[in-house]
Amino acid sequence: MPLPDAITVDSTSARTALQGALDSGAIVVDAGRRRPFYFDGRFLTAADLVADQNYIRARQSDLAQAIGSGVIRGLMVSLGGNLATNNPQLVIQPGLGVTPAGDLVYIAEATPLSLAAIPESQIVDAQLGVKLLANAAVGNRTGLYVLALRPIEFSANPVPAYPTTLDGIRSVHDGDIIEATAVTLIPYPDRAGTENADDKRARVAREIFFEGQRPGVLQEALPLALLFIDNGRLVWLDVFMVRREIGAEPTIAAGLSQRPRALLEAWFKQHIDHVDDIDAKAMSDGFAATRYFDVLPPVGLMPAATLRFDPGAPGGSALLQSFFPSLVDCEFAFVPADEVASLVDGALGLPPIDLTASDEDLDQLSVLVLAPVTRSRLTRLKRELENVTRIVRPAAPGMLAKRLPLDALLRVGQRPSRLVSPEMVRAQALDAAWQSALTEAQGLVQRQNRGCFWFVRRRQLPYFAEISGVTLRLAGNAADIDRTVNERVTADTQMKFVTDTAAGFPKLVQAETYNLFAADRLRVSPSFATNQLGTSDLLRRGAIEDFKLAANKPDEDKHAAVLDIARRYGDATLGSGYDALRAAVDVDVQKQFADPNVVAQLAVSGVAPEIDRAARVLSGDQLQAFAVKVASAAAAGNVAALRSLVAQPPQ
Amino acid sequence: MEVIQGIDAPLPGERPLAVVPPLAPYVRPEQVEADGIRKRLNLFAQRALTHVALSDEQAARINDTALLAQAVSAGVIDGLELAIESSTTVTPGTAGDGGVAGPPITTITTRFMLMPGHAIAANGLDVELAYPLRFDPDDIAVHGETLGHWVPEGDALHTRIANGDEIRLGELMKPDVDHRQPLDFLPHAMVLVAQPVTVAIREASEELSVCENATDAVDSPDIAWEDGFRLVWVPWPKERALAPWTADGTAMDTRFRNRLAYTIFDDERHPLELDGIRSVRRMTESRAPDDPPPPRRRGEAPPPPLQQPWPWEEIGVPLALVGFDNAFRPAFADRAAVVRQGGGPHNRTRLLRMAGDDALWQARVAQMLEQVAELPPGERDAPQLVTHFERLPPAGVLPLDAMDFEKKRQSFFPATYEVQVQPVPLDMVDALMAESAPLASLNLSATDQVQVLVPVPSRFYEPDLLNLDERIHPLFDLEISRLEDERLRLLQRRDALRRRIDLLTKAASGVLPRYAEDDPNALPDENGALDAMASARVRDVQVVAGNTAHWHGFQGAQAKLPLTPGDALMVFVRFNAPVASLSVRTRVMAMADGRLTLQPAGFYWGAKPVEQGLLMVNAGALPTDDNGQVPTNTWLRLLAPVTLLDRNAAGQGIANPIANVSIDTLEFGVLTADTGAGITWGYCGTLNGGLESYWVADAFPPGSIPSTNSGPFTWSRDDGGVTEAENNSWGVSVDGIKGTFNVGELATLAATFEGAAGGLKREIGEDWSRSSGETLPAIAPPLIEQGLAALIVRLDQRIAAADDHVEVGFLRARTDIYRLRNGVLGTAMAGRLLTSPAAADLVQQSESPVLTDKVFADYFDRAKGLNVPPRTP
Repeated sequence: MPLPDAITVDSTSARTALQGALDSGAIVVDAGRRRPFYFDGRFLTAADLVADQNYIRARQSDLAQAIGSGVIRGLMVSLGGNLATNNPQLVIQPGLGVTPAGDLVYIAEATPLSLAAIPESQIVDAQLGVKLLANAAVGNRTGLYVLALRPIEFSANPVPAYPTTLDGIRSVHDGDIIEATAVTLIPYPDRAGTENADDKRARVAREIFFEGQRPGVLQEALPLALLFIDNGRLVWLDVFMVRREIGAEPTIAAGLSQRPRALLEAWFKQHIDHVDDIDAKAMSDGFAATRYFDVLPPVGLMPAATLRFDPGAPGGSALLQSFFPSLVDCEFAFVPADEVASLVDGALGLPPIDLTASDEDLDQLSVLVLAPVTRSRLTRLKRELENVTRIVRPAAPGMLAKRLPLDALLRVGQRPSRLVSPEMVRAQALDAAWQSALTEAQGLVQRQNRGCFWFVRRRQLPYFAEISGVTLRLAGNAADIDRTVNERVTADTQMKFVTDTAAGFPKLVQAETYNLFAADRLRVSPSFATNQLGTSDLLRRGAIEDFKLAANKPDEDKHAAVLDIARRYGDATLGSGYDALRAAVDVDVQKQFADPNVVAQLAVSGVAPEIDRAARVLSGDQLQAFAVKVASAAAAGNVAALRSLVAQPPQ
Repeated sequence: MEVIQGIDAPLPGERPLAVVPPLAPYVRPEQVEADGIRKRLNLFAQRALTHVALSDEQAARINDTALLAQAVSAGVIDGLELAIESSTTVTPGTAGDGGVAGPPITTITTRFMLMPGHAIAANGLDVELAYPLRFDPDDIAVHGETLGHWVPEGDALHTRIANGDEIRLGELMKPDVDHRQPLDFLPHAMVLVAQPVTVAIREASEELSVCENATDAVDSPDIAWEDGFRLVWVPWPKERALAPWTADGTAMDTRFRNRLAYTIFDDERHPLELDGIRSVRRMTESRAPDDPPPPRRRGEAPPPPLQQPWPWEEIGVPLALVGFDNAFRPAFADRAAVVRQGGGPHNRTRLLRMAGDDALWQARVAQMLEQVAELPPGERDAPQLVTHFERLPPAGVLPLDAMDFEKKRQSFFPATYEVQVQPVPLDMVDALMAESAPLASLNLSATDQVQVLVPVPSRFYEPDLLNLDERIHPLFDLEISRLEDERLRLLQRRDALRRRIDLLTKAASGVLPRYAEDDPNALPDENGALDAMASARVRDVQVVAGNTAHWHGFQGAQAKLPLTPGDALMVFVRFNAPVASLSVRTRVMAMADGRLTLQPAGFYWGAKPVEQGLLMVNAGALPTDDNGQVPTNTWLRLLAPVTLLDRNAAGQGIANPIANVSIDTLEFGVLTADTGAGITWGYCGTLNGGLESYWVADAFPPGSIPSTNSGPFTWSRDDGGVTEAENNSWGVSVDGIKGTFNVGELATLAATFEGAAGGLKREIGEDWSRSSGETLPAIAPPLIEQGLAALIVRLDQRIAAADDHVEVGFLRARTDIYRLRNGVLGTAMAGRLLTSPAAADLVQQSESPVLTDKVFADYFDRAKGLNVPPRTP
């Protein structure tokens, strides 16, 4: 029989035994967890009910501590109002968190806070028992502050208290205890002397993330953001410097890592926010990392402008970087954009990059610079560049330091070559391809990633979950492609132009053409035979029209042109925009979309996939209006209007 | 109002900015409800406890638990799988005008089965189902608010929705129930959601509500809140793009399911939270208070749209995305599209926008697995799959029959895909899947690259495993051939040694050793004894064509072969041309013509041989190979259970049943067919219970008289590559023993003592060196039967008996001498000369010589009876 988990003392001997066990430490009792013992006939007092209440609260608090302290959801701090008017507003999004002491802090709806309205909070100060210091003048405060949440309780809603004697006086007491949350501003212990705002941010990041300090952390408060205020003016807001979220920690660890996963993730997000705060000019000109950062997380963003291709660099054409110190080994690579997430995830466990480390340490540091591109573009780059990775050399300052003595001697004795050999021509072509690929990638990130490439610290000991097995290429049924295309030629006479024309193309282009037109997305819809064209028919006709343009290009450009069509029509969700357009309008407009003449206009506009893409981000009334515009422009044969409907018509 | 817990120990310079909700003396109940304000009862003496107060306290505790539960990721923790069950009933048509029955009516009944499990909703409330639940989808209510967006303006349903009426799915069908048609506006995709609810059955009865002063006489009303969940259909939200469910208005588009799933997956990659702007730079760049962010530059990609939560996420726990066909019957239930793994710590804010998280990645993998598993096997190849899938997850599990490694073909991905395949150790699969799961999904309409991993247990892993047409280097063949030769040589050597052990053991102990038929260490291609026959000493016979019978063998073997009922006679044989039959014959005592005589008895395989006596039993046909042909030039093992001889083929009785008889004769017969043949006879022996022993091996048994009916038989060595020197070095050479044998010293002994009374003749047999003649020895010589060990024992016994005679004679002579001395010299002197004091004592005690003689005889017997261990040298 197992030992009982509830012990009741109902005899003298049992009491003696229990006392003995308590004295010897065999049974330990937590006096903080005390609840009433109920029985029929017991006189129930307020104290009993309070004890019951407190017991549950203590258990919940202990459970919350077991979950860990931090933000459970929401509680994001953002900016509102307008800084230009010097009336900055902080907005705390609704959410929930746990303080290190295990108390829940909860904000039900977005709460705006005005930094300029601090005088109003003096009332709150007094009520909460905070004593004002003489030097804490409001208007001109300067320094670092942690915005934090504290659990507060106050009583409200008076209810009558009934007298227990005949001559007692009836009084009124608050009937409810409201569990509220106070938003407080706590000074961050700033031990630095005079320094500018950027230096301050870099230094604090170093203290918190690199050195692992935990200044200003309170047992009873949940930090949400760090602010730097200069004479009452908000200079920067850094949320992830102090905000930590509750989440899964990897359970397998050797215990050697100095930083928990939550801290590393916060650092990465802090870095992204920090880069976002750097002004546009610095980003477009490029800057050395040391200008804004003391330490960098093992993976992060760097301005693409700090990378340039120099065909005339000493020692031959080279990629040069000016972001990292010159002693750092750099390599550049194009990667598919969807792989960045797993690269970031995998690299977070690596040691950070200390930009102020000694030369010996920096010399051992190796960094990979990544330019995200789409998969189709990567395929093209592989063909054009032969290799999508390349060593990056530091721009001029560190060159001498990195050059081996033997290299220097060889260069002394080397005469400039004047003969133009076939190798040189090839090398020049390759240089030009690199130059244009880099410029293209820089342009792409300018639009999508605020002009930044990614950097990832490389492992000293490379390991991959990569299989070493020999690969075997499997064939599909190539006859399926021919059969599919032939079926489409039979069903849609316009397809005949494609097959007839492609027959005269270079063989590789011919294969790509068949690949393109065998895609399921360009299939012949069941209602096509009855002249009711579906979305896939519309897209196919669009591709045929674009193909006609490609067919007119010189042979050497045909491949690129067909690949470009394949890229535009290879979008994963292509067609859902037109489906949404059709679904958003009434039957008459739907009929227009199925009308062969309307489809023909959409096809010749050359922007059929772009219209689809535009429709995908719209909803509700916007979508309906857009659908009507598209349908009417196409019905009117107004190709120019169709083109103007999308932001960026193709060249 | 009173602050109960303030900031008791503020940090220097700490300033509270606000309190949420603001400090106030009154917080109204509706405010508590609307703003989710946390509160509890302030309990003090003299306060009134109303049901409102107690309910508030209850609600506060539930609310706190739910808040804390939000630290756990929302979703299905385990179970809650949904299955669709369809049954079709055909009823005969009703009789119409003229009594002609109308067409039969087909009714399809669809029901859902929800399996037990539990889950937790995003708001922290959990649901649990303890038993399998079967329900009709038409009985489930449709979520009014979401439905309201689809209902056309002016429809009466709006009023019902506004009133909060429960509208069941079945109600939204047009009245002609047998040919149910959904109302036009209904979306063909809905999500089944388990909405946490709490239920109390409250009957408006005065009796139940009146307090009866809590006396025992009156039962207190048993009213309680009970937690549970309600199943709700949540239609696809109107404001989200819904893929067209059909192309022709009747048949469901096979891609509908995949499109719906990926609409949800794509949406889930968008950032969920309203992040707002955290960059002071961005705020400074905005133009006026509360302005939207600056306009995008030309060409700049729009920021990813923020994800609005799907309605079902806010209502409860989604269980499955269900697609409906034209009659609005459930066509599929896609679980992975909406179900996410719940329980455990939830994920933090994503590191990158648009990346998704592991719950989404896992769902994508599960969705494909679920949908592929539901397809019939015939529809899992590329042309069929394209009609079901537009998108596939970046990592997943493929059906086994999608790949054909021998033909190097795959039929799962379109031909436009570049598919590479690699073997991978099984334990690495999860790590590789985890690495690829976050990547972009595969688009079957585009060209792409895929790597197929074939998981194999680590012990079978080889990088080249799938390279099936690899040419084997000739060295392998050479080495295998060398090792096979070596193995054969060892087997032959083992066999030769066994035969010598047979000989020595039989000679020493009189028993033939037995060996396991199946060598436990044998390799699959190893033929054991058949292989070993290659070097055995065998007998060759040449028989001419034309139904010619030939036999040879031996008779009168002194080392007989005992047969027991479990034995099977076993003989090895080989021939170079087909023969009509083979036989093995011995002689047993049997009843024939009313007399008990020695009769030939044996077995034959194939055609019945002529002149083979009355007890020849057919032991089956000659063995054949895979082509049904009798194999030539290969060793065969023929087996015949000796119990077959118990049957009397000619109706005659066998006087001595075959049990426990010993045979001394064996003849090997052959009957040729149209062609002559060379037959080689190998070993012969018995097989019993998996143990075999050989009687005829390198030579006939000792004492045998060889015989043949026509033509000679010759002993030869079936040279298996064993040299004579090797053969000699393996031990006793058996080549010298050919039919007759010379036992050396024993023969000399026999010659010397043959005629002596009680001499050795009995032990070593009569006619010891006889080499011919038919006469059997009158007494079987036990030397051959029982072996040397038994002979030694017997000789020992004889020597001991002779010793006894001598000893007794000597004792008697001593007694007589003592008595004589006693008479001549007196007792004292006679005793001195007596060597044994015991004898003297005996003589002195006995007065008469007769008595003394008896006493001495008794003493001798007693002394003999004592078991005195022999003195070791």
